Amino acid sequence: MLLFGLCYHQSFAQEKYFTLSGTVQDTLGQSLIGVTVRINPAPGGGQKPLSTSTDINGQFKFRLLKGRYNILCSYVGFQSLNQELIINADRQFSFVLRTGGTGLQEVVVRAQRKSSPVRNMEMGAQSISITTLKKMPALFGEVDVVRSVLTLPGVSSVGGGSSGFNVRGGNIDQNLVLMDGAPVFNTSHLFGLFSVFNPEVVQDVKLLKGGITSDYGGRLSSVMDIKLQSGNADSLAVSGGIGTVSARLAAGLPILKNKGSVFLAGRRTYADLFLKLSSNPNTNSTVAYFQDFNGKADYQIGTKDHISIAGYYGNDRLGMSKDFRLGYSNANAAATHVHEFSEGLSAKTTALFSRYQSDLSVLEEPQSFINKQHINQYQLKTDLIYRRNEKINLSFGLSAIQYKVSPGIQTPLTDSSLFNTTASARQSANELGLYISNTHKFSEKLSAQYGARLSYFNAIAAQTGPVYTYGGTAGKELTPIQTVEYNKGASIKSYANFEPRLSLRYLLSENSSVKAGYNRMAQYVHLISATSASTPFDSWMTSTNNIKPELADQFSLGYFRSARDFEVSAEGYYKTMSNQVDVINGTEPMGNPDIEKDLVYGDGRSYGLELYLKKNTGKLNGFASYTLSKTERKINGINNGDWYNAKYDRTHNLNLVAVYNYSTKWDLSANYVYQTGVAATFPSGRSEFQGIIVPYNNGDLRNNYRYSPYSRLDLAATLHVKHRPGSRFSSEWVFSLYNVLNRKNVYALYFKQDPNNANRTIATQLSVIGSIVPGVTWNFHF
Amino acid sequence: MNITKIALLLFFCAMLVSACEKDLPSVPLRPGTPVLNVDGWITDRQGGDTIRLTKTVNFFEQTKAPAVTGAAITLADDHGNTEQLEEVSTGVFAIKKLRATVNYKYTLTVRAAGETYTATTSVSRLSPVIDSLTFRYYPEGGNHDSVGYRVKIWGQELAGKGDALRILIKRNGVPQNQIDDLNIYNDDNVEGNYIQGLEMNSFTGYKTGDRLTVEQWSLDPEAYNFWNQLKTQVDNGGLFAPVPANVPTNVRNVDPASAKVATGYFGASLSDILPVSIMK
Repeated sequence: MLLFGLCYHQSFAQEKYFTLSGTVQDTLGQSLIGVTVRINPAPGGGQKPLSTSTDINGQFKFRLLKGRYNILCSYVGFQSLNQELIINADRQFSFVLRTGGTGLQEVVVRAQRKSSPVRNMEMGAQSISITTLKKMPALFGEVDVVRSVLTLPGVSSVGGGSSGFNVRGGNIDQNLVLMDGAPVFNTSHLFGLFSVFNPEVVQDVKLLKGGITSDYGGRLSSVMDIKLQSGNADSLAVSGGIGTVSARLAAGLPILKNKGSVFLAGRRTYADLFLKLSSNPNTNSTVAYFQDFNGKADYQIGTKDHISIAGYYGNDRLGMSKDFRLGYSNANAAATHVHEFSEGLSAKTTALFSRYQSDLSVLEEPQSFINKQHINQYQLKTDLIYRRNEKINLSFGLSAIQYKVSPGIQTPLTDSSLFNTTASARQSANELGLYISNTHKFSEKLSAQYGARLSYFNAIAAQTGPVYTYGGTAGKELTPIQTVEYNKGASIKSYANFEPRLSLRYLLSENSSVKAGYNRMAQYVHLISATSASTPFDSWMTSTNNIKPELADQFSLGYFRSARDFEVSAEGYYKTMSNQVDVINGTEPMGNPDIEKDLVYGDGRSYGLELYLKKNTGKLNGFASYTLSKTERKINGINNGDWYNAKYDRTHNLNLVAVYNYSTKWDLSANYVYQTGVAATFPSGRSEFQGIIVPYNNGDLRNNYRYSPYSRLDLAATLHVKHRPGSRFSSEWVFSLYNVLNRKNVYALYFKQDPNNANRTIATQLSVIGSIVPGVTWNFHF
Repeated sequence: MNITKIALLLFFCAMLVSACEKDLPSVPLRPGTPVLNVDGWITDRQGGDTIRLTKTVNFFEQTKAPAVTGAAITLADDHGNTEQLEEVSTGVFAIKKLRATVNYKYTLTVRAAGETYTATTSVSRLSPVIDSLTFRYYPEGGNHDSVGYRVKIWGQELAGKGDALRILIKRNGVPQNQIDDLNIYNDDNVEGNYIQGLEMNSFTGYKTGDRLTVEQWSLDPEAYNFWNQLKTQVDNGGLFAPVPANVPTNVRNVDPASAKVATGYFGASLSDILPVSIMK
């Protein structure tokens, strides 16, 4: 890490390509699709004129040499925009087109960055651009979307190596994670150390914690909307890299006379390739890797239609030749058609498929078995957007989902296994969503976004046979109190929920506003987990006659202010959740054919204050986020039915992210985290049973303690390598140090008998990342 | 039989990614209120079954649990037999007359410090019917930390659900009672199968010259649940640890409104002692 000391400040005139990207929106903040964007170099500039059109997310991208340019955005029904730009770094712009006339007029670019949080309707929304993401220090140098999202206010996790993330007191299964619109059921690689999003593919990450508009449904707590790259519409672009953990490659190119584009990307860990070189049969037959593949094709038909097809497959596999094998994978595929009927009316229709599966095999005889589970989601949805004027800016749509779930099947691997086949009943269900949403500008100062979603869920018999309704004492194994025989395809139980959504924004001044919001959300699929941190083998289950839909109500209030280089916001929220699902003590979900008899239900509540300060520009930029919050659960059968702190309840959560553009060669960055430790269950006493010391907890309280606070400092330095003038090739080295303070943060504490002295008791502390972790990554693009 | 290996596997995976563990001698804990702990089991053997009464102590107190003396204990079965237990040493009460009989129910009544507690249990049959034992030697670098022999059991699991067992191994007469020695199984996923060579857990490998006595104890479903959760809780650890919770107890205060609760378990088993094996 001597490289930190070798920062010569030298400025050479570099012939280097920069990325100009941005979005085009109307005055209400809606993305405009198919806007023609032309780039003309200023007189004397050497580059040829370029043009493209905005994609279905209203986004465009160019690769440009340093210099002055004119950008021209034109769109039917809107005033064109002509603006001069200076490109001397990667830049991101948001252009706003005003309605009326096609005449060429110069208008002012309202914000030279993403739409201003003061003026837009979004509450509880945060976005991170991939540019920032790539400069932030990362574990092993592996840029990671989910780890970065953990730095945002209102977001936490149960610890270093856990899957998923918790938003405003929500469980990890209460986040709707969308990869270009397709849901992802498990975001983790390597049990949560990394996530499934290849940084080469991610364009933009947006997290909605509140103010969730009615076009989204199906999860209680948040929407993480990840937009993926499309191929460049003008030329071939290749990017890639190799780091401590994985190697990546992505390529996008125009097809069909620049009317379409194709984008392909892959990422894989490579450490296992070295294992194969070993002469030790135990080592060279060890399997350990994860990988991701993304593909996308876009095509513009005429001026009115745009089609795209996208797919993803990613998996983890781990195995020791004679002992065990395990794996889990996400797959999704989507076909999207956008059609513009007329000025102001467009429709987006998507057909998609998403699947999560996991398997675990024990190979040693006579206990060999394989346990598998999966959830498949088939979805068809149409969204219509109708912009009439500033008062009527409607979107409405319909979504139909079919779930096919196998919560678990365990089969012997060989004849000599002593196991029988054990299977949970397969599940089948339909979920319909119908929504309408309007963004209404009442006056210059007051705008509202209001709407509602009507969701309907129907659990269907996936096989002919008995369906049990369970009853009994909460917290003890339940027993069937009613048994009904259903034929395959028959309706077992249906639920309907009305989900109103409302956001108000009032401008206090040109650069400050207050916003208020209310959300009701319903959720019909649930992740069943019996462990402190979720495992990849936890099963998703749909709602049934026993498992009722989860519901949440959230109220939020926020203050937003922008001043020159800064954005500041303060948001408070109060959220209640019902029909939360948990398991009774001692439940083993795997190999359990009737998990519904081992479930318990209850409520959740969470409230908090989130402060956010962001500096977008200047040599030193970054953000600070602080959350003060409380999250509790009240489950019948846990903690005597009283409220208790949720595992992921962290009272204080502070994150500081700073990026310093030291020179044209070097960027330095730092990330500091301080969090209250997660809630944990500690014993009060101990008893002895047949000589074994057993922890005892007076009152059987849950999460009655906390681990010590978590803190971590990470540093990174990016070196932009100089290449010969005129070369499109650019590259950079990223050196990172994770956990610089070398803290052994507590992931868990276990209280047990000392194996070396049967009369003694000890506590064992587990730290997932218990040392400084260096990382080196090399990235390139051309 | 339950999937006990998974926790270990997952822990192994966690180790791959630079997890590290350290032992802490103590952690500040709020003191608890001592409660009565019942440690009792009735078997079908001739003599030797006892009920031990102790109190819980604070977790890091590092003392033997104090005995509860002077309690009045009555044991009754559901066939009209009762026995008043005699305190044979401090806090230890001997069962002299009653023996566990298959399908009988037993109720233990403990009167101590002005409170009355009862615990009810039943006796299940022995299954599988173990017909032979084999011993596998694990050398250095094998699957286990500790070199030596491990015991494998062979036998027919009887048709009919709800069978469960505990295997207790005595090495040169000493019960192997470390956490890693616990062998608790039920027939959930092996119903009616021939159990061919299921390897028993043991904390240390057995060495040449060791005299091994393998005991099979039958468990009713509640006793299985008790032992299985005890095993889970005392062996809690790793990246994906189960949520800590009290091990279930069948000892209840007859006055449900009383603040005085108890912990521990009173169980009943048929117990089969297999022929002694000497490791060669």
